[in-house]
Amino acid sequence: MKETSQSLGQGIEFVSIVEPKFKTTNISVAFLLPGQPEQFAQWALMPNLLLNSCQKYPSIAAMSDRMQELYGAYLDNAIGLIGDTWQMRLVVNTIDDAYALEGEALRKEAASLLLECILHPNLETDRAFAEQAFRTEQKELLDVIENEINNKRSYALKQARKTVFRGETGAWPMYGTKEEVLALTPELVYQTYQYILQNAQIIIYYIGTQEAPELPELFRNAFADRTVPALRIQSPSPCKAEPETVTETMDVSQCQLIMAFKAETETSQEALRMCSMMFGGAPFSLLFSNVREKMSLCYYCSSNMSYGKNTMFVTSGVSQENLEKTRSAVLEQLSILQKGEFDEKLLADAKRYLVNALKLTGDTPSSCISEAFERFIRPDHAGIEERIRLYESLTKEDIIRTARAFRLDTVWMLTQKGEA
Amino acid sequence: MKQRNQEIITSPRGGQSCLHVTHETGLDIYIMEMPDYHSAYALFGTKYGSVNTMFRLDGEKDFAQVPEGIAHFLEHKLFENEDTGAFEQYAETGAIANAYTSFDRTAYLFMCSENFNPSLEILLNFVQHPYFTQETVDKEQGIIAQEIRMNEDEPGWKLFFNSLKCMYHRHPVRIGIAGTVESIQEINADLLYRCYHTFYNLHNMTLSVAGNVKAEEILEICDRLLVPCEDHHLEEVYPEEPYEVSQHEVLDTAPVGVPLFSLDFKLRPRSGEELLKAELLSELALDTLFSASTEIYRKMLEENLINFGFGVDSPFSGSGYFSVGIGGESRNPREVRNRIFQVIQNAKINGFDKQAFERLKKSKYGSMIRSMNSVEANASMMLDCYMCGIRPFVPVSVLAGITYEDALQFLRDEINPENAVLSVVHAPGEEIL
Repeated sequence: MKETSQSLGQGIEFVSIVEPKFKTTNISVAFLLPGQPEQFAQWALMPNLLLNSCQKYPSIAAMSDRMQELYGAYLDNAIGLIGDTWQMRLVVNTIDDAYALEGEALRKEAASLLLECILHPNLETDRAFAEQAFRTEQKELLDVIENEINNKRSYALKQARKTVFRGETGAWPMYGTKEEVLALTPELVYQTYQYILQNAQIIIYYIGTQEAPELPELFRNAFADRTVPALRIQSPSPCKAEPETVTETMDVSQCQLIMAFKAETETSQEALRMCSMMFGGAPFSLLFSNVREKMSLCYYCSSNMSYGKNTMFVTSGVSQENLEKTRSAVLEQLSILQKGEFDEKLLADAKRYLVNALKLTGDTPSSCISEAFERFIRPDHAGIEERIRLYESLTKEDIIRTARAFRLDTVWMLTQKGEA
Repeated sequence: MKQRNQEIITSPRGGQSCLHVTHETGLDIYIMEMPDYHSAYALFGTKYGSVNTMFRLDGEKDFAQVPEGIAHFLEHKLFENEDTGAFEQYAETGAIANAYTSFDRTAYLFMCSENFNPSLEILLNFVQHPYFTQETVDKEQGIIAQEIRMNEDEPGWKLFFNSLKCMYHRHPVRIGIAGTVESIQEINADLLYRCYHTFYNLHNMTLSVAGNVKAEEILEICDRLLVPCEDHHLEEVYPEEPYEVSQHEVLDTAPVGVPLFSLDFKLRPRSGEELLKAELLSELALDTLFSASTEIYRKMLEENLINFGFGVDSPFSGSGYFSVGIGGESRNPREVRNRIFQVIQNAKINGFDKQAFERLKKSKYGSMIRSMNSVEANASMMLDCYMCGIRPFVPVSVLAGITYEDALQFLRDEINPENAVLSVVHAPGEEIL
């Protein structure tokens, strides 16, 4: 694998990863901005509006035909927060030119398609997105918001974040509210898109089997220099003076328990991740082997870190009568870490697991992008080898110190309707 | 070295090949060496899933009938042996391990970037050495009960199983993979041993490995650790299942946003390459009629009858069952059903867009090439092919041979609106027109 990066201008990076073993071409454009909750609704509407049609392929049908012609190429998108920084990814993926049955230049065509979407969107006037396309996406986003209730585990997490990160960017729903979506207009969203184009930090990732010398030039011409925005990626969340408990009821078979812990002193990413892994990140962890396996309280009880927020979420699905017992058991397991009442084997197992997972990087295009992106957002820009070294150097004392930095911030529960 | 029958199987496209070994113990082994990759992925699977509820072995007079959910229960319990659990052993190698049970199979898997050989030894050992006690069985019931509850809160799961119950009168595909909270109470250590010794016979199993591995080392480990077992000529029976669906529509409620629906066409079951071809034909025919490129999609979207969740689902098939569905979200699913039926009836008479069919065939080929990108996908592909009774890489060749005329004929002969089920899950109190 050969990775190179270059600046295409102020605030615009181009990363090329050439890996002959893959059978695909993947081009991904990331736009990064400081999170502004009042903009979330229109930011959420934007990616589909850009990718489902454009000037050249001005309808969903025309765009769909084009993607089928390109051997089922797909245009994909993702939005999310890293710390308090908002990110939008626009992606095109197609098979490598070598597998085209009629010798088509698929890489070139895929890059052109993505650039068409970004630079020549489907407009009604030179100041507004096409009305019909806008209305379709608006309805779609309203449905997405309404459907958030469908997946109880992710719904519970989203609801819990409102309490966990109250007063911070992370408390706000990523798709905005229904009212905010209804208030949007094609003009307003287009204005905001222009703002993103001109102000966001942009990183372009290319992953393919061969060098793509034409791509940097194409993207250099696409975007103008910009003042790099001050991104808040490391934005620790303050812990509440007293833990807050919130309960919501619903007609469900299983209750959801979310517990958020915040590390109050500065600790390295590796120590936080290692601590979370030992606590509830793998089948050998304390939560899995005790709360699930020994106590039989649940099917899943796991923990993971929210990047840049020094916050560890524990999630579990449990019966109503075991809610309190599970909550106590989770706290008890954390106290085992805090008191150092664990043997060195647990730490050694967690190290092996995390190092193994890091070494898997590079075997899928998406893991290559994630790795390059993590290096970009980390204050120390550490690569895989350096992170492995950091993991290996952690001691039992480091874990005890990190575990002691965690305090309970929020307990959020989804309980059964009609029960106490 | 033990005797082996082996052959190299090569993909007609994608430049890949794998080694297929029929081990003298009866196990089918598939290995794809991918030296450019860092990782390796291994699956040890048996043809035993939730539908295998009635069976007997050579010399047994009566068919045994076992509680619903026992294959899945067995999967959970196999991770424990007398001294230590498999997860604890994997912790020593750093491998990421898991398992799954579906309708027609159970598979144990791990992925790793180093220590492949010791991890493979763990896999082969724990799957071949069961250890159940009533105490450990009782302990598992609480965990699995919560897994069942979790699925009950999953509206897509509810939608799917409601549809299966309407499509199938008696076939055990209509029951939940994990069983019910009640049925798992009937499971005990003796029953688990009985099912284990019936289905976890190497003649009924496969090992599939892809990634940065060496075939010779894997085969040496297999020679050492595979426990020879006699082929007991497993015989399974399924209740007689009529062609017709048992019910055409089912509505259910759950806390959801926009109502979810699926319109599933019950098809005649098949097996092997014939099934593979039928799956591709059904998918291509329906995609040609209902993809985002079509007029019906545009109209229904404009009229707010569907949203972007609308689309053709992957075909669903196994021993004695086969269906293909179209699903999504709609506030008026009955009207969507009417429109779909109209389009199908019209296409049966007038045919469908040949250019669109060719584009979608190209698109399907692209997705097959794309799926060869990872070690995980390749190992899973080889396991799937074994389970379906076909050779690896056959899907690409079968796709290449499919014509527009085949797809149209399949639509005319097989996809029958009178043999379809509409399943809907909506919020309590919401009226479905």
